[in-house]
Amino acid sequence: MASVTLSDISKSYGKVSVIEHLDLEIRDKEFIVLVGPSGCGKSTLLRMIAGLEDITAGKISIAERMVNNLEPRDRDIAMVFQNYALYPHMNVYKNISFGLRARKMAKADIDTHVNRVAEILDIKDLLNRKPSELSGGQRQRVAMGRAMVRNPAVFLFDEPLSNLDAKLRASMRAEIKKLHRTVETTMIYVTHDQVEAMTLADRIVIMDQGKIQQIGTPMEVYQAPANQFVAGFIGSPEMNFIKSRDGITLGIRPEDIYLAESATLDKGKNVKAVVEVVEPLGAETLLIAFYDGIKITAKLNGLIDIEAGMEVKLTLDMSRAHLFGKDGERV
Amino acid sequence: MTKIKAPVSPFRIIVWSLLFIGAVIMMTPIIFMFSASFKYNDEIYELALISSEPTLSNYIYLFENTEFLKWFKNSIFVALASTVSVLFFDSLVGYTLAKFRFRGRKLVFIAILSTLMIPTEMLVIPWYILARDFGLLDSYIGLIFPGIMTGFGVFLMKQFFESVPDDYLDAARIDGLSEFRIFTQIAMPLVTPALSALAIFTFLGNWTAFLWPLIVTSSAELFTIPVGLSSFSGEFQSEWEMIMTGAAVATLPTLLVFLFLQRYIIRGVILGGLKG
Repeated sequence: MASVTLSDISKSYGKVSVIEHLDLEIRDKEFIVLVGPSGCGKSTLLRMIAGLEDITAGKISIAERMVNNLEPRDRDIAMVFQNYALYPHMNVYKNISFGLRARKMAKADIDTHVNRVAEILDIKDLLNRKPSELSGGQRQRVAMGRAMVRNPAVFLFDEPLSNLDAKLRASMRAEIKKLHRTVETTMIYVTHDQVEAMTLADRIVIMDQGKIQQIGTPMEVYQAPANQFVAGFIGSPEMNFIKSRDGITLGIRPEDIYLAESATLDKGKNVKAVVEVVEPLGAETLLIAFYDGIKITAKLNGLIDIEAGMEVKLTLDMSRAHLFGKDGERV
Repeated sequence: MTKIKAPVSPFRIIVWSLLFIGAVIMMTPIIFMFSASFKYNDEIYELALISSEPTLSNYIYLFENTEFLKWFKNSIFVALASTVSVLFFDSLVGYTLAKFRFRGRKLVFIAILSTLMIPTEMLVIPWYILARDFGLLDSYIGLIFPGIMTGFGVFLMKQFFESVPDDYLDAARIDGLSEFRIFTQIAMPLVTPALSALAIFTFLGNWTAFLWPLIVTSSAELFTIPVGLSSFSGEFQSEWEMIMTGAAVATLPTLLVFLFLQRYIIRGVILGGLKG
């Protein structure tokens, strides 16, 4: 059982508070993604779980054992870093086996472990190479191998895919997901990329300004965002916000807006808007239009014959609209 | 495809000429040193590069009739011991200053840095008093102790360690290494170019050091080469051919050290493990 419990965690650097009174319960074998804009404290939180950063107040438990005062090596965790941090003076084999050698494992056992991991990650041919002789994707695999080889209770990932190109990122994402199914271990993953968060997570933790804004499954945070921040952060393009005079904000996702002529909705609201930008993406078209001075982005199916400057009638699907109060919280 | 040779620009000709002149200025004394080592005493003031009667007698005399071998061993010992010590302690302090946050860190660094402003000539008196009070005069430890650590090395190593990404050290912490082993097994190999440069500076500095070894030693068996060679120079006459022969032999280890270490300076190891 490797659950991770954070109770009333705070972190400050001098007078600057980075994380305040944070509580989080991560279940055994769960894939948790911490997501948020840069500076929201997600990486700091991960580093605190790893033991690389002291906590100012609170309690961290891994597998029901308090680890506040334990060194990183004694926490039974492994971490994959954003820039991989493979030791440049060691070959792949040595990089992967380094943690085992540090723990004085027998040579034959190290060999077995490294080969098992190399097999899973398909890096057997690379074992004698230096990190500088590897491509970005290969380095990523080696970094994962180094984490996997020790069979840790918890895997920590700090934006591991952010240095890869879009195509490689998509395939590595799938591999990480597969890896989670194979090793069945608790994983905590930090990213600022909401696509990674949505596709990988069992539950997403959305953070802003050192506080958790919402915890939920990808569908929960997408369909029922707890506040305006979450609503704006999750989903691409961003949700449209229309403020009313009484301070209530209506939020509607671009994919819940249709062209009036093709919409057959029970609870639709029609608005006339002037198109400013048309972005054909192939399978869909993004329309940026202005209605009463308010910018509205619509994600329409297929390619459509509309040009900038035209007036269009859009239907907003009010059954899928979200309402937020003055304080930004969901109403 | 035919290769097109770029015309040599006037700028390059000027640069090469300047480099050539520089090389001549630097090489001439060395060439004369070697040349003089093969001459008899009566020929020493003649400028001819190759003696009319080249001889090895100076070398034979140097090794058979003087304490040169002993001085050579002393010099090797002093230079090596100082180098090893400087490499270890300077990088240890530099690493600590670069990678750990603690109260008074800046003050310590400034204090170490300020020692660079004091010339050796001013330090020999306090060193001498120290050596005398601790009973280290005319001993190996007395020869070595002022060079155990250098402010310059600490400064150099700190700058290099600052360029080592913290992620390597964090990865090693998670891999289970103690802080000292992180220093020796991860951080040190990442700064080999700096260590090589420091090793060369330190070795050469100690190999050629004259003032302190002259002051602290009094018995001939503790002389280093520069002090030993100076004993060939008397009040009324100098045995230049012996001084030149000794100096010629003394250049060899420095040449070897440089040849051996320069490839480590050229090879930049620091990149490669991080993102491409």
